[in-house]
Amino acid sequence: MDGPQTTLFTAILISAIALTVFLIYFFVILLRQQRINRRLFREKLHAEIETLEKERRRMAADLHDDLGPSLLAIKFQTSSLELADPVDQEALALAHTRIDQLLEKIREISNDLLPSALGRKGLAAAFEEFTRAVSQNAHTAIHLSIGCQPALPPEKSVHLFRVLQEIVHNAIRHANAAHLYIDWTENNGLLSITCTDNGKGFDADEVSGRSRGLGLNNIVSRTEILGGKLYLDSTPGKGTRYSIDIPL
Amino acid sequence: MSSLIVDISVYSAILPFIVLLVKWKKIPRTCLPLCIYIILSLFNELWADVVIRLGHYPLSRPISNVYVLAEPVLLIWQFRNWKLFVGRTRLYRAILVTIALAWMVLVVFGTGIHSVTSWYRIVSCFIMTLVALSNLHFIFVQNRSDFLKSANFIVTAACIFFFSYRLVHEIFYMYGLDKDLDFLRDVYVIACLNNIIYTLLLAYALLWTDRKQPYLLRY
Repeated sequence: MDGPQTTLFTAILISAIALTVFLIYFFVILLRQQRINRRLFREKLHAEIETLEKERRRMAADLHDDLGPSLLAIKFQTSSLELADPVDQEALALAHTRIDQLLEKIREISNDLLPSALGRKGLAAAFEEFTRAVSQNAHTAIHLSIGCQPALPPEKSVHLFRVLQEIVHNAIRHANAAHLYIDWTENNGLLSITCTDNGKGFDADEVSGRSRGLGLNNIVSRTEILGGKLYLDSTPGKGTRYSIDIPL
Repeated sequence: MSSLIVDISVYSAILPFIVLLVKWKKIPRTCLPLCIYIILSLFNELWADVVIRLGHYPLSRPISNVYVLAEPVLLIWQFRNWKLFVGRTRLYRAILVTIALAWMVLVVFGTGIHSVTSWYRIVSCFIMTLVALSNLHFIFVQNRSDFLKSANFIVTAACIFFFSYRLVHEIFYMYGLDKDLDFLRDVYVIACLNNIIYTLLLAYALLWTDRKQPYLLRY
């Protein structure tokens, strides 16, 4: 090569090296930024869910400890009334029935907000209780197979309970599934839960783009908070399969 | 040394092909364009190598010219399968039509299919770099999975690296076409190094195509 060719070749070589360095630097900062974004997003999700849970606990406690006892007190106080008029007595009896209905409703709402069985009997028993209650009023048959009793801390149990609750609600309300199979196993410190329904299915990519969709955001967020992974297979018309792996 | 790099560059196309054969049954259907691309690139490299070794260099040109049309088409089809063009079908078609028109005008009616033109390669590399950058932006905004385990990201990064360099290389190559063979060979060696890195990245990306990605929320 003569002088100008050597100069041109050197220019090409320097351009190639410079381009390579720029691109490597570009991808390194991109990856670092993505890690930061992922962490911030996880923290935001965590804060949102924690706030939601705190608020639910507070509401459940208010209903259970304040409103319920107040209604009971009203019922007892009015029971002591000696009413002579049969019409008044009938009205009082009706009021007591209404109070009993209200108390029952409060218990239901309170249990929905924070299942009492979760604290008393543990996750597996609470979930069994929940599926039994739900099955009675739904057209979906829930087939539950619990192969282990995971030892999860209370706050993690709440998250997992909510995830499963949401999956059951999705199968009943949105998928119109006739059957929902839930398998629950533990392998090498990993809790694996598989939920398969034969409902109408959906396009997962389309749903994930929306801000709200089938409570799926809730399922994904809580799974992430548990440090787990959710694998979702769903095709319109062919049912949905959720596979959740959670480290114990 | 330079002939060794050229040989490695030619035969490096075998590596992604081997990964493809090993993983064939597990690779999802959405990656079909990438698979066809890997098979075609191996065929193109081997054909060119054989005819050049036999002393019939001009015979490699028609195949090479068809290959440079198939290359961006297959990669853009692959990006489409990775949801880059969701709701933007017109853009997808416009890009493919632009590439096809550029090929017809600059290759078929321009220099002819039996000769090499840098102009078409510059146009296709420019388009491919832009499409790959768009896909990178799409991944960065929509995807929260681990990028280093995502075939989509690895292929996109490989494309940005490969086509942006090839764009610069083609421009310099065009400028130096009247230079002597030593000069052209030395410039070609740099392109071969780029090609080796590209095929290695494609092989690595193929390793991740069959891995089930966890379902994640978008930002």
